[in-house]
Amino acid sequence: MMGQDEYHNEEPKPACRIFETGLAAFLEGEQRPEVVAHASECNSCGAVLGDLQQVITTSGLLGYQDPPARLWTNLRVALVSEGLLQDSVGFWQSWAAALTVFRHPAPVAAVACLALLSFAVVAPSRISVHSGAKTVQEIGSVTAAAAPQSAAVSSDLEQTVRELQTIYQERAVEFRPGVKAAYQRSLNSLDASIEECRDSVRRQPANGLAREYLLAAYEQKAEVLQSALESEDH
Amino acid sequence: LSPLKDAAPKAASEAQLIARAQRGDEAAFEELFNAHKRRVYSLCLRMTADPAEAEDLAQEAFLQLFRKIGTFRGESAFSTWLHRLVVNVVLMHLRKKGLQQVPLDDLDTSQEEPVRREYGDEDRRLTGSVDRVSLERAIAQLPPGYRAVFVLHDVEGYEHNEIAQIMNYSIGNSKSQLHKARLKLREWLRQTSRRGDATAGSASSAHEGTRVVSEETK
Repeated sequence: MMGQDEYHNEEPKPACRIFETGLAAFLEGEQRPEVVAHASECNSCGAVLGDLQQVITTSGLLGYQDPPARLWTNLRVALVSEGLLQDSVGFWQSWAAALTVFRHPAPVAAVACLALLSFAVVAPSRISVHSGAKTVQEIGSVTAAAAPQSAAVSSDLEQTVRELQTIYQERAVEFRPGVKAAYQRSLNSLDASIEECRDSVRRQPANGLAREYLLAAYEQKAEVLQSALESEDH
Repeated sequence: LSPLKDAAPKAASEAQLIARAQRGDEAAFEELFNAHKRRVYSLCLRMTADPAEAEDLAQEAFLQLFRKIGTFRGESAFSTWLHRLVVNVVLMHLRKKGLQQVPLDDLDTSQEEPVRREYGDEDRRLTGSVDRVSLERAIAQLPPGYRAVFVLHDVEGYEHNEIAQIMNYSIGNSKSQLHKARLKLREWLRQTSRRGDATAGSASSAHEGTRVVSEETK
């Protein structure tokens, strides 16, 4: 909260008191000539008036901030769980659909954008809930370790995803059908994408892009599983 | 409500979107969400000064919006309807929180002492100090009651009669709290200006997190 500082006060003059009495009304747009007149004569009160006018002006210019990208993802899950949305189009299907053209060189850039976008959508930044096996922070360290050089999928990441998948399968029986279906569609799409990328890596081991997509798909699957496990409202 | 600062979707297309959303069309939900998410989230963030709370409240507000969208008949502008709903969600949250954590005086500031000021040569102008980042930090330092009135009036453009109705107190009280909030902001800005940017940065680390979150998502 606002702290207190040392004050070096002089005694306020009567005119300063009159200025203070009318200041709020003047700032609300009322005609208060005594406020303007005193502000032009008294440096201290003139400073107060000028600063408050600057605060008001700047406040009106404050912009808007983007919410975290996961806001829509979380909202969508909530809407599906309440039955307000029909999960007719799987969230990850567009991502997976894009990957199906991976063998053709031209759409690769678009696929990359979609993959990055999808990852941004689900990447939680304030997750602390334990899954029972590993936390997302641990997953993050695993993926970070795997990413820098070869962009290959480390065995740690594969193992983490397997563990998360096992826990998910145990818990998913308790999920509401709509929520479970929404997560399952996403996971199915990601599994298909992983297979697609693996196939590409097998055929072209030197294809760095394919390895990056494979890593991204694993990371996304880990995030989706973690998100499903920590969601409180199933 | 004063004119919105963001360019809202054109009335005709928005009406179509609303009609589609009322039929449960997901694409329409998403378009409405995208059209209003920044203002909704920013309002929640400024009124709570906490990114995590703001995210939860924005989600709750949109959830309520989509639950109630079937009842929207177009008697007021959609954005007005939405933002009133958001303000209600945030204020409900602040009131609940007030009962548990925040001293009631922070929500009802009518009994607070007047903001102190200096007289004489020590009270100099904040030349160049009221930049947007400093002001955002200062707003985050305000007590919740002052912050709510200030954000609604000076940032969001609500009138005092609207604020008084929303906050359930008199217009005079709204004006009084706004003035005190402005004076407190000035005082905070002056103090941080004296201490220097380094100290100001550490004093407002919580709000710094807000900016990081925002920049991460750009």
